[in-house]
Amino acid sequence: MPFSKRLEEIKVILPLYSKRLIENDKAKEIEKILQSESALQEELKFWDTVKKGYEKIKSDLPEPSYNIYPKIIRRIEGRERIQNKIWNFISLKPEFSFGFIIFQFLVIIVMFFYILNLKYGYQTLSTTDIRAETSYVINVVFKENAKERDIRELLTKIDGRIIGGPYRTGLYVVGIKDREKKDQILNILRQSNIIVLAEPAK
Amino acid sequence: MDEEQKLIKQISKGDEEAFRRLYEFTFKSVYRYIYSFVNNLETAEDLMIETYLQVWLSAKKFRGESKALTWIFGIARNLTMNEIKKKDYRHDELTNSESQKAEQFRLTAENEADYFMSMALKKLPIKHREVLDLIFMHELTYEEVAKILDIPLNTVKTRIFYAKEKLREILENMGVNKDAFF
Repeated sequence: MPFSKRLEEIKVILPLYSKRLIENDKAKEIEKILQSESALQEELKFWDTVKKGYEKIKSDLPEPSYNIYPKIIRRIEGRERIQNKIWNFISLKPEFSFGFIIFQFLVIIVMFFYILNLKYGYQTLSTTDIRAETSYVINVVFKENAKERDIRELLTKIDGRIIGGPYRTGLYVVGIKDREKKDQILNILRQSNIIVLAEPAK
Repeated sequence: MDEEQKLIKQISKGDEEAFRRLYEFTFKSVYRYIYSFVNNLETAEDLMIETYLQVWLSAKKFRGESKALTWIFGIARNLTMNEIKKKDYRHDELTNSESQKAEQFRLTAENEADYFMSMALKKLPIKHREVLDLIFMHELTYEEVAKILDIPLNTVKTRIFYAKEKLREILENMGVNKDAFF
């Protein structure tokens, strides 16, 4: 290591050297270098004065009162008393503990029935509450591999909605708002590559 | 694991005697540490109580990676800094012109370098002073200082450098002949 870098390192740890907080080996090395390095000597002189300044500050500081410890104990005991009260209330009152167990048991039963009643299945694209809006209905059979995204796109295009189905035969009933466009819409449906059948409903 | 660290382990199991012994070992250092920041007996006492209450409550969290005193200083520092944020205690002290006049009178009479230095140290910003406090008052290593202040080791070294520069500036402003120190 270059000597100049070593000097810089020593400069950094001079406060520790001044307080004798470094190992003997290092301290001896520093002592040796200090003899020939006046800049380091000046630096050390500064930190020695800082040390003396702190001795002065330390001697001026008041001693802690002997009342502090009993106050700490009172605080700790106060906290523990509160905690004990809570714990005692829970553990020593049988009716509370029993009530708590019953409550947990009820929660488990409610959860059990709730899970049992969950409907597992799928939702269709059909809806039943728009019959009044529709003025014309068309029976439609989609291809088996028709994607939901494509069906939605097609329904948007014709401004229609599925109002019935799917039935066992795979039939859907599509309602459209604008009766006047029925032929045009039928054409669109028939030309679509996801439609097997599109016929006016009776 | 040293004796004080063992005491904390015992405290974590609710051993009050261990707590009393740890208090006896550490209370003077912790009090000095707190008081040097707040400079107020009542506040220092309140912070002592809070600090040791936290020691009792947090003993289970002590992992034994640092000295017991370093760990307690960390707790004390957090509480003290929170308190300082509420009120600038050191500022109060420094703006007390009456006491400063008296200090200056004694200063000319005694004419001691360490006295000038102690005055300058009290005027250091907290950020710089707390590093020097921990080294010169509490004899902690840079690594321990870094742990307490929760800063990297290099930041400790940088703060020492700037603390020195700041001290020189303060001493110059005080009209102190620099030959007295450098």
